[in-house]
This record gives sequence, C-alpha cells and structure tokens, in this order.
Amino acid sequence: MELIWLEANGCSGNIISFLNSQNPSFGFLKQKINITFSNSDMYPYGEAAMEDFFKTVENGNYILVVEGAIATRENGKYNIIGYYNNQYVTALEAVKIASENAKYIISAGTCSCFGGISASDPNISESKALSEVIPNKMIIKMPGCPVSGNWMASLLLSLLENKAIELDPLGRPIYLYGNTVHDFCERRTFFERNIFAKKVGDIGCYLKIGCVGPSTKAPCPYTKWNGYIKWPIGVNSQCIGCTSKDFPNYTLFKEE
Amino acid sequence: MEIILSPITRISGFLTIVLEIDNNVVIDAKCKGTMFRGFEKLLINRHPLDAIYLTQRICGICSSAHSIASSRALEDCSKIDISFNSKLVRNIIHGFDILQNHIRHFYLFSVPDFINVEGEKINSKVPKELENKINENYIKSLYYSTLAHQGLSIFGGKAPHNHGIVFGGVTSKLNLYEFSKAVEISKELLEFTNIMIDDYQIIEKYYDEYNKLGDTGGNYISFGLFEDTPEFTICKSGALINKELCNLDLNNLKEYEVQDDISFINAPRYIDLPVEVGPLARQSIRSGWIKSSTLNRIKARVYEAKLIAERLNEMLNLVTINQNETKTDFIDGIGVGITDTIRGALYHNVEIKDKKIYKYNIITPSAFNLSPTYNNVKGPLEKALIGTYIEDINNPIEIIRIVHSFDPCVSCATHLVSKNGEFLNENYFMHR
Repeated sequence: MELIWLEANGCSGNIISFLNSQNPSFGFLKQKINITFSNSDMYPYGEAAMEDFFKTVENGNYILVVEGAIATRENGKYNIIGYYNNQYVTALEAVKIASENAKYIISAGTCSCFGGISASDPNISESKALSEVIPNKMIIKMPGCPVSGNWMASLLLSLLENKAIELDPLGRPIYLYGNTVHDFCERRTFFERNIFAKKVGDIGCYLKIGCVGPSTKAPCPYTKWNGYIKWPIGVNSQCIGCTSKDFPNYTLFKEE
Repeated sequence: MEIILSPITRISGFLTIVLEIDNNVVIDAKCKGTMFRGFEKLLINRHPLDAIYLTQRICGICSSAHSIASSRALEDCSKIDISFNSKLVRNIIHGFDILQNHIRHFYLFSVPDFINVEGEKINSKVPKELENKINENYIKSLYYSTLAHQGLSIFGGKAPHNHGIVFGGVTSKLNLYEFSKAVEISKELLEFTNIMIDDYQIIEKYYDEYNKLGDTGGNYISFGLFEDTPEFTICKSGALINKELCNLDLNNLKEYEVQDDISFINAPRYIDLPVEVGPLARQSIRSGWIKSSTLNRIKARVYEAKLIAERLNEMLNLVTINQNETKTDFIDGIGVGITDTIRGALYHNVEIKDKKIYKYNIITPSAFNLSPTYNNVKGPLEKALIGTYIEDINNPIEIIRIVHSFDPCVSCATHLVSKNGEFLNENYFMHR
C-alpha cells in the first residue's frame, strides 16, 4: 500500500506528531507502507516530487492523508503545493485529484477535519475543511491540534490489517473519539467533590476556568501524549477542546 | 533560463525557489512562500491569554518558541516578571523542542542531501562503509527526536503545541517521578548529540566545497537564547553587522511588504539590511564572526544541539520540585516579547485594549532568512544561492543543499503582506 501525506494550509504539526508516534512507530509503519509523497519526508523535490504524486494517484492503491485546511480563495492560490507541467498546483486542485482514486481518505488534525484555526475568523484565505471541498467522499476524521501521532499510527495499522473501523456521525473512529475527556478525566473526583481550580496551575477541576472536557470527544485521558506520561490536564491546565468542531472559536482561558 | 523548484521538500511548509541560470551558474534567485493563514488577524478581539496557546499553531515544528515569545509579550505589557524557576522550566521546554528539531533536521532533512538513505538516490562522495554508519543513525534519529518531544511533554503536557507555558509562568509542578524520567531522557539526548557531531564531521570531510557555497553576506542578529537564566545562556542578544558586534536595538528593526503574485513572505530588515538568523548567527555572536556558508550553518546546528543538551542536564537539576506559578491579572497596554529560537530571532508584539487583543504582530526567523528582494537588495537565502555553479541543470542538488542548511519553515515565514492592492498589514510598530 502507498500513502500520500498532503500538508495543506496549516502548521505541519500533524506530520511532526506522526513522526513522534510510538508502538507502532513511524519507522515500523514505514516497513508496511510506502510513503510516496510527503512534503516533509521524501527525497525527490520540485517536478520529480510532483511526478511521484501523480504517479501514485494513477496507480490507485493508496491512502490519502490530508492535514491543514484547504484554502479556496482565488481558486486556491493562497496555498500552492508545487509546480508541474509549466503550472502551479494548488492544494485545492491536489486534494480533488488525489481523492478520486484513494482507497481511504483521512483528515489528520482539526484544520483538515473542521477548518480549525486556519479557517477561523476572519479567514482571509477562505480556508475550508477537506470534506467541504470534496463533499461526496467518505473521509475518516482524526481531529486534534495536532492529532496525536499514536492515534494516527493506530488507525493506519488497523486499516492495513483490515480491521473494521466504526465511525460516529461526524466520521470519527469511535474507538478513539467515543467518549468525552470528562468521562475518563483524572480530575473527575475533584469535579465530584466540587473542588474547582481558580486559575491554571492550581490542582482541581478546571471546569470553571474554561475546560471544555465535558463536550470534547478525545481519548487523551487514557492514551495520554508523547511517551504516555502526560497530557494537558496532567500538567495542571485545562482541556481546550482541540478535537472539537468549533475549535478554536471560543475563549480558551476564562476567568472564574 | 528560468528554473522553478517547487516544492522544496524536507522542510516545513511550502517553499518555491525560482532561479535564473546562465551557463550553469545561478545569476538570480527568488524565494517564495506559498501558503497563507493570517495569524495576526485571527488573534484580534480574542482573550489575550489565548495568544500563548494559539500562536503556537503558527508552526508544528517550533511551537514552544511562539509560546515563549507570546507570554513574554503579554508579561511585558502587564509589567510583570516571572520567577527563576518558571524561566528554567520554560527554557527546558524550549531546549527539548530545539533538540527535537536539530536532530530531526540534521538526519531527516539534511543528511539525505549528502548520503543515500533508504535506497540509492544520489552519487554520494561518502564511502559506502561510512554511509552505512550514518544510515543506521538516520534510523535511530527517529527515536531520539521523538524522545526529545517526550521530554518536553513532561513539562508541557503535549508536543507539538504545549500547555505548560502560560501567562505569569508555568503550570507544571515537577515531581520526582517526572524528574527522574526527564534526567535520563536528557542524558540519552546528550549522548546522541555526540554521534550527530561525528556524522556531521564525515559529511564535512567529503563535501568541503560547501565551505564556500551559500554565503548570505554574514550579517547576523540574535534576540538571545536562554538569556533570562544567565548561567545557562546559549547566546546573548546582539547584532553582528560588518563583523562588528553591537547591542541589539529593536528600533532598527523594520518590516517591509513585498508585492508578489504567489508569495506571502515579507521582508524584515535590521538597519535596513537583510540579516541571517539561526544557529550560525548565534555561534558568531557568542564566539566571534564565522563565515556564512552551507557547512558552517549545519555545523553550528549540530554543535549547538550538544551545547543545549548539556545545559538541559544542568537546568533540570536546579528545577524546584513541586513548584509552579501562573497569573491571570493582565492589563491593557503594549508589550514586546522576543527570543532566539530554533531557526533564529522571533518577535511578538501585542497591543491589548479593553481586555482584548487589539493588535498583534509577529516576525519569525524564517521571515528573516527567506525574505524576498526589497529595494533591489536580495534576501539572505536568495543571496546565498546566487553565483552557485550547478553541475546538472535537471538535478540542481547544490541548490537543495544550500536551501536545507537554513532549515526553512514556511508555515512560520508567511505573514501579512499586501495582496492585489489590498493592504493586510498596517505595518505598525509599537516599541515603547
């Protein structure tokens, strides 16, 4: 199986997060999957890189991962990904082309899933979620800012092993996004005992200073982050709902 | 003839290089950053403390740097100082992120320009046996850069985009369980930086012509790295202009808009000069002027990684166990936050009015290095490319090697420029 990892209008933090994955690691997955196009991790450059992109699409046996939102202003001119056959190729054109033959399409990160910070007001580049520019395609949505590399790696390995992936109505895998952060939060007993923190850094429940754990579906409390040691609430800060559809269009830090 | 190289791969974000070539020699070069989001605009009217978390989203590979510059800008605005312990923890977070980047950049982005990794792609000058040794370390580097982000997340909760750095200090309270994990991680990283230096020296030996290629002109500035913890300072702030070291004066900093059909990088200048920023600038400011070249830039990066790993080990021992400090009482005003980071000098400037962000301006390291021609003066990377002899026009690997030595990040570099007469940047400067 081949894989195209297209970085569109975003911070490229999702590919960095994916490089951080552990068990299965990026190196382990690379033995099973051939990454034929990735701006961050491919040897060819320029037209040769674009040729690899088009060749993969033509071959047809590939997974398409898109991170970043898709800039649509002036036909996508606010995000050009390469130059091929004497013209510039926009991310908007590239996702339309690559989505045609893809075996699976995955939105990696909140910008690709829902627009995220790249599409937040005033959205000068008129960036949109991937699903808005390729409306009739089945997309597996892996939100997060960035999506944890471990979550991505588990999805890719499961797809390669032909495991059934059950999705919720928004297109998110239920094994990852089936519960809220609040459901499994390590500070749940503080919430139940009405011990609320007055500011970040204090020990307590962060509900009154902006925590959106109760409305955020993500597995952070039990998968944790890098090296399974910590996660945002584990370092005494609130969940900012980075996997949510409306992230970051609300105040992250609230005063009690 | 004109050659368009797009995309330049093995970097963060989308960079296009347009070359004018005559008899295999580059006679003109243009740098184009082809993505745009408009962070300065999306911050307007937001809660000021949100800026520390949101500006990190500018960049997935150097996010912690933005949290440091942003929190400093807010703290400057509210005229508050943070404790020594908070400074230490912030520098540890930043240090782990720098190591993550330097290891990742050297092996994943730069090494494949000089030796074959994952199959035969280039005619490497490095003998097969040594090539195999570097190749093994290329595989290992995946583990070590991951480990550096693991170290960061002990203090920051997650990486990229940490939660630990907030207004008035840091949220994490280090306990001994976490301390002991961080100690071994930083030791492991220090050991690996020695391996990285060995591998660099091999490449240097076989590619010494790159000592001559990629000269930006050698004017350097730094905004200071770990300058707030004097015993661990990597580099003080300063400007090395025409080989003369002077104090940094932010009044000399200007940012110009450049009209371009597809590019969104503007042109920051210091005393109206394009300046190079990054590890080589820091090394020059720290220990005397060094010639700007492709190899010197890579060398400065790998040696700096070792220096940072050493400092990290020392700083960890001084962190006060079970202590943190955060604040919420910000006030209206204007604030500037600067720091040197992975790729060089980073500037954040905030104006708060009625308890909301009224204006925000960001100048990033890659905006300095990748800046376009302004007033007929070439930007640093553009200048570094001009004059380069290209052996095979169909595979201008010389150009790729020079470009990679800057560790470009275009997600960072693209900020407000005017577009089709529509002025997106008010070009304000708000130094007090």
